[in-house]
Amino acid sequence: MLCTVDRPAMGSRAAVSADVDHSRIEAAHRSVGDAEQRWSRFRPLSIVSQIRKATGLVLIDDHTAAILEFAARANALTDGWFDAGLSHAGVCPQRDLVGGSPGLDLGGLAKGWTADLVADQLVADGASIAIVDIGGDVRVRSEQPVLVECEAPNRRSRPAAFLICDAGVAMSGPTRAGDHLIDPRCGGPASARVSIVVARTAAGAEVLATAAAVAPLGEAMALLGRVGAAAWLIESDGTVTTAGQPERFLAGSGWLANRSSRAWLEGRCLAL
Amino acid sequence: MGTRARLMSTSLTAAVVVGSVAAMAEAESPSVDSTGEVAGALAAAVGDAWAVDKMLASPGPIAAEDEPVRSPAGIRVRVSG
Repeated sequence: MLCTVDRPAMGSRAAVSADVDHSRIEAAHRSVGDAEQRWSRFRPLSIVSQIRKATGLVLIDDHTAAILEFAARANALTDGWFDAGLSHAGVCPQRDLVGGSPGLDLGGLAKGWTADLVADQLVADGASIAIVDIGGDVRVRSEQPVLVECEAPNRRSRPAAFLICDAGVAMSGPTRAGDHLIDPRCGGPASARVSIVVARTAAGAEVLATAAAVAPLGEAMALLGRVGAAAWLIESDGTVTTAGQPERFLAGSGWLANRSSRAWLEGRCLAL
Repeated sequence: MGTRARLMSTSLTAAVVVGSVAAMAEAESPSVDSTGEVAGALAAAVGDAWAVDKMLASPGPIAAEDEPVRSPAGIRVRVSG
């Protein structure tokens, strides 16, 4: 029997579901709250806000050290197409200090990272099924396959459905509200495609979905092939390209069917 | 090891954080919360460049004979910001 609690968090919503008692779910939500306090750039006292404002060195905790480490490595692995805005500032390696990074924005990465942490925490607490959705980044850790829906960006077309056991799924790209992704090469708005990635973790899926949304198609496919992730890439004309045989995770194609992907694009144009 | 060395050289910040992640094994931060133990394990895992590769790779196959569980209605993959 799954216990589910859905709350506003991290500028969006966090839904945590697992076969554990309610107190464990509440503890998971406290972890989400801790992550938001640390890594939200909209909280003036967060560590990320301190790093953004810093002219000198900032003391960072172990969790922040780990996510910054991952962000730096993800930046290198994606040839810069995933960029959390971490600058190569002066630091002191023995004392958990980091220099100022005015452009630091952990945004989506913090959501995926936290979804992974919370799912791991629930499994450590005895859950055999843990499903965590933070702002649309979903992490599943389950002994049985779990059906997870994937909303069409226009929110009107029929959802697709994925079947996953121990994986993260993330989607990036333009929405009805417009393009919000930044092209890391020029610093301006990116002409992004929609990308959906199934990876071992939600943080990994988030990194790849973001990179694959903004990189030229050839580079996006090379990146996905290099790491072996499964993905759908949907261009603005409705063309769908896949990498890593993502069909094996698809239980219902919904808006991902070619005709439907065109339909959501038409819907998006109407909305704009 | 060669990949790890190359990655570390790309970012001074990354090199520093490797130091701080390694230090976690010896001294737990006073600000550790309820996720501390799991976060520590994950942090140790991402200290290895290959572990980052694994976090990005595709998950394994799903056994067809297992009965699927439907996730609650509020849980959906959506475009994230």
